[in-house]
Amino acid sequence: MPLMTAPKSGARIRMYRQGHGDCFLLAFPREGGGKPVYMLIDCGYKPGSQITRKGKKVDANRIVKDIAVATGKKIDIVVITHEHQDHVNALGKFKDFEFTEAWFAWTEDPHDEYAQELRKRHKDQLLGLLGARRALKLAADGNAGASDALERIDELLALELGNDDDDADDADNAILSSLNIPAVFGAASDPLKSKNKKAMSLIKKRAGNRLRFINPHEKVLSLGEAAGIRVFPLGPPRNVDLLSDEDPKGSEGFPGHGMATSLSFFAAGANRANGAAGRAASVIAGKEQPEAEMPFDPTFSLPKDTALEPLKHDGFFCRNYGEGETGNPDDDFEAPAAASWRRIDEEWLYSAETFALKLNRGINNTSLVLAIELTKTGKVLLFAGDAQLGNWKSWDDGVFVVDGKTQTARDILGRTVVYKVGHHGSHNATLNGSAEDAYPNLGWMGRGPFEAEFTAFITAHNRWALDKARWNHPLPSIKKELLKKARGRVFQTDEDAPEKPDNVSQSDWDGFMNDERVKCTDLYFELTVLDD
Amino acid sequence: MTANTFGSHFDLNLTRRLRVYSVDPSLASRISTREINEITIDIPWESYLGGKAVSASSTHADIEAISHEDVKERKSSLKPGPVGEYVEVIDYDPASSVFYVPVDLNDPRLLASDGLAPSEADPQFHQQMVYAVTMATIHRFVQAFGRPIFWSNHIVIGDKYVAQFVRRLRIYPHALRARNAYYSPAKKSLLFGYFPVTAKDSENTPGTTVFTCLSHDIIAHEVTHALLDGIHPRFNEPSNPDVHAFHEAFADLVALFQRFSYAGILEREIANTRGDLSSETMLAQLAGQFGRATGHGSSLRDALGQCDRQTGQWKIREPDPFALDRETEPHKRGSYLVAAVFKAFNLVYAERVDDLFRISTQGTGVLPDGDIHPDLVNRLAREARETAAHILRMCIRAIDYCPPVDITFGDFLRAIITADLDINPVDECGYRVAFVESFRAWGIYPHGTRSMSIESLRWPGFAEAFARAKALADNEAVHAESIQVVGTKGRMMAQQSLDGFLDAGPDGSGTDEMLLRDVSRTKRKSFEALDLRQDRFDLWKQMKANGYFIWRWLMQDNEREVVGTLGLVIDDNKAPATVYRNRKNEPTIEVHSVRPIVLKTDEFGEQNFLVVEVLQRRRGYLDPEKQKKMDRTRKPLSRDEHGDFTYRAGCTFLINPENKEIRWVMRTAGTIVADSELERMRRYLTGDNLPNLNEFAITSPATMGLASTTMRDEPFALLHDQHED
Repeated sequence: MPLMTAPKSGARIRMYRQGHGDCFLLAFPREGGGKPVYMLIDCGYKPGSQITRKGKKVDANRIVKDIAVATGKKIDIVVITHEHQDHVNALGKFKDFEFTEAWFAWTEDPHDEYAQELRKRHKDQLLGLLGARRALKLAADGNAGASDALERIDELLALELGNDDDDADDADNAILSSLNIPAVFGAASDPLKSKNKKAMSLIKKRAGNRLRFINPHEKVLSLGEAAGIRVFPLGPPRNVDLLSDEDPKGSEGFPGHGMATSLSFFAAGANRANGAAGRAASVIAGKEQPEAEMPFDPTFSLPKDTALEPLKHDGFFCRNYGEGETGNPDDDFEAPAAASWRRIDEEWLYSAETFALKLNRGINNTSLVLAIELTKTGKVLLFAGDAQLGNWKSWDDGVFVVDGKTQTARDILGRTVVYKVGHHGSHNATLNGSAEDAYPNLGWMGRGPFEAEFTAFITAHNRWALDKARWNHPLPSIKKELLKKARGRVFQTDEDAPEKPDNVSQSDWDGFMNDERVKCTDLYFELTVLDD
Repeated sequence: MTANTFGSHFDLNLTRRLRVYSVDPSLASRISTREINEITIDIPWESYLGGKAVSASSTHADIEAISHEDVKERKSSLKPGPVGEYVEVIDYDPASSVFYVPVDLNDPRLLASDGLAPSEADPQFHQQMVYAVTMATIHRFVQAFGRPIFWSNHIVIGDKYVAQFVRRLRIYPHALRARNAYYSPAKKSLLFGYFPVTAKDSENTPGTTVFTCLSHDIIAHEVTHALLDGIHPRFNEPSNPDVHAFHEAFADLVALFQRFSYAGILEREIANTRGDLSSETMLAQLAGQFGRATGHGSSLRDALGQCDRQTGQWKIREPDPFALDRETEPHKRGSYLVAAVFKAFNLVYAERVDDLFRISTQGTGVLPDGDIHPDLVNRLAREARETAAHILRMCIRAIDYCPPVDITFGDFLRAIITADLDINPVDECGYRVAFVESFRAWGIYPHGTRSMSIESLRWPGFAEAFARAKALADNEAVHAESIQVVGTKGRMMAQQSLDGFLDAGPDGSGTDEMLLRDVSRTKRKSFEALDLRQDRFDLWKQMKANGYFIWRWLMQDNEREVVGTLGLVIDDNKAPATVYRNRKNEPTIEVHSVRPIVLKTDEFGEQNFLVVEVLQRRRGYLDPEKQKKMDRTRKPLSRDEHGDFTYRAGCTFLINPENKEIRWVMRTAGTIVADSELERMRRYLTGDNLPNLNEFAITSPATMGLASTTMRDEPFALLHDQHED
């Protein structure tokens, strides 16, 4: 297999099909000729979400092998949009690659104070969640509801950590070691780093010191030695609370300093629930949790175990909450007073899922969003990472100046001909609206002459997402709108080559689906965008 | 009787007085509101129902029925917890792994001091407060309906299908460490959360704790969800964007209008607003402390207006007839219904106090500057209180006048109008007109209504419904003058078909085992007026048995005239294969609820009617082609074939059990064979006909239950996560 080529003027884009996750390889012509300039945007997948083509699993090893051949193992620019499993976990396989530059969002900058603060909060939140997860695991035994919740939380936690082992305790160890907290579980522990962190550090190492941390709207970037290319960074925003958990931003910068956050309060409970199993997460977190986490003075309360003894308080708790069901002896059509289906031992832990979702959403909003412009025609390739609402709304908060002319997000989005759909097509990662609306949305994209070429890439394995993770990716209403706008030109990881919609003429369709422009293989979809 | 199953009732000659926070603890910390922070409310005195001889329920109609002999002891039947007839407070805090000791409200010290003094630090006061507010709410429903209320059944699906009676709603005041509270239909429980305040601003102190179980509004809101679920569990099945929104709105309405009945707040707010209740007032604001602590900057919801977050200025929200076209999130959509009802309240109130303003201003109606006279405050408050009580009663009564599923705001308007015609035939104060005017301003109207006049908004009586069904069936116009004739005939026919049933032998197909066993124990042959003065469990059984007889009666309507009028289809050849059938391959009818309602039929007396809900089921498929194919299937579909969703259609009707006269007919928009309605539901479920917002709609139920909805399957959570950001 030969190297991947670039058009004389323009770009060639490969969307790899390694499962539910992102991996894009782009080739641009090099200034002064020679081998194309290669750009890799993310490489990751949700474990278990691989598709099968011709009886063979399309896995990351095959993809990386293909990239090796296509690039000769030399990549000019690697972009990591954000640190989530489905965007980074396969990067560990690029050990013998050479990267000239690595691009990250400012949120990864080790010297950025706001970024440091965000990372610290992220870590605290993960620890809290871990406590809840562990308590839920104790409850999950033989309880369908709790097992279900546990599975879903694990799926969300895995995004943050990158662990792909079903062994639940692995999550504990992964998080501990990734956060540089000494393992306290004795022999059971394994000092492995989280796969996300390992992959990130490998990339940073391979790229040497040529790391770039990008701020939105700060300046127009060039793409290494690529000819006729400009890059407009649109996100992530600096001015919104990216990791917004439930706590509004306090007057003194960040909440969580010296006062209880919602999550730590929740986690304190989770840790107490864990106490019985001898695992106090307060010790794990390396600090003591104060007794003040109890809502009332101890004089009012009875510990759970003693309260349920048959003679305690005239048997009130035993009789009404109880361990055994006491039915109405006269009639079994009256529900018993101490029915087990009325108990709430693990109900409160389900809010862990709420916290986990918020955390995920926060990290999604740290996505680096790049609009890559082909300068002759002004066509734009929009890579939105997993940006969700908060990130999208900020794209119009700044402008760029090119050759003395102001470029707004509205201008740039209007020229979009390729849109990498945000967050697998989830509900608020592609905003709905019209060209007239005041906020960036799908209606802003691909206007005027650019509409005729508008094409969308959805990185989703729909069946897997619905069945395993219970995520509705892509959301049917978004998919439908994209199909309508792109007149059928929509690629999706788990689907074969796009098919001609009824309302598109054969000649129009042939103008798109031809060997010059589109190539569909088991491993990838390839689209060529010409700049002339 | 065992301790778990004692029956008790409300003794109307005694009340229990309990102290509660009037709104929530936050009022105590402001000098302007500290005086109204605490109120003492009267709740029913629960005492033993000592066998059938002591016959008393709490309904207003029964006051006379309580004789001196009947109520000898008047001993409280309330147990520590408190655990009473309707609710049980079990204070388990699983996040802290502790139980809190239950309060005994019969402790003489507490009886002498109206219960514990309000305190955030004492969990026993929390128990007292949730008990007091839930009982006040329950009592309001009992009074409005004129019958005991029931919680939804616990369904056991094992070898056989059994519906269990659940005597008490359980209340967990400290169930969650989260900014939420909800009614759990599966656990028949209210779960309240508590959480730390993390915002630091003039309203909030970081590190303090907010208890949702100390918010009057949150308690009233959540118990209302439970009450609605008990009236009809299928009522919350999402088949259009109004269904969930209606539940939220209704719960808010109960919480809002209930506060008008308490002394203190209303008088203060009248004084503050100088009698103008359409300006900013606490009375229209819900869950103040919760809203401020969760970063809303103001109350969680406001029926009248909102605070501009930038300027901090409160602004009234003008009615917007297009607002509903743009909103699908249940709480927000519901807020328009709340606003519409609140506006109706204000219209009536303004009308009623007009003269008071003129009298007190020498006829000008223009108030001088400064505070208004305390006498005027009291008079205005009285008018406001009476108006609010009537509005709330209209709304609650309307629940019995709604179709059994697929409720829309427009249906609710029709239900309110119809219900009010029954309780308030001469509308002196213009309540019904106020509702029509206000709902029109908010763009709420029933589909297919030809005019917004009272006559065309009210549901049809049996005669009209019969004529309409016949006209549709025969495809011929029925002249207005003949309606009366046909209607009379229809009524006679109803009588006949019942007589026909009485001769028929028992036939148990399609009913649950419980019913059969219970029915076979009784000697009855038909449905009958219900005895409200018995233990609720006995009444529950009697209602179930009545359901069986109603079902029999409908299935044996040989002329198909009653079932046709009710919009039911029971002929095999008239229904597509996807309609659920019994063993004889007849489309089944399910009688879901038979509950008593007391109507004032003439100036001398009241008559017990039955509210009956009947439904049919049909398998729906998301793929229209598959639907067509399955509809045409020749041989009966397997019982295990459930389709992608269930489409339901049917009817609610009021029937006089003595003469079998059907009073009102509340049908769903289409019958079970209506493909257009099935298609509408399909389009709703797939999100095809939802309004466009900046986010792509995810509230379509096809996506609910996926990751975007947390709190598992709890549909009644105070906050849903999905629309934050």
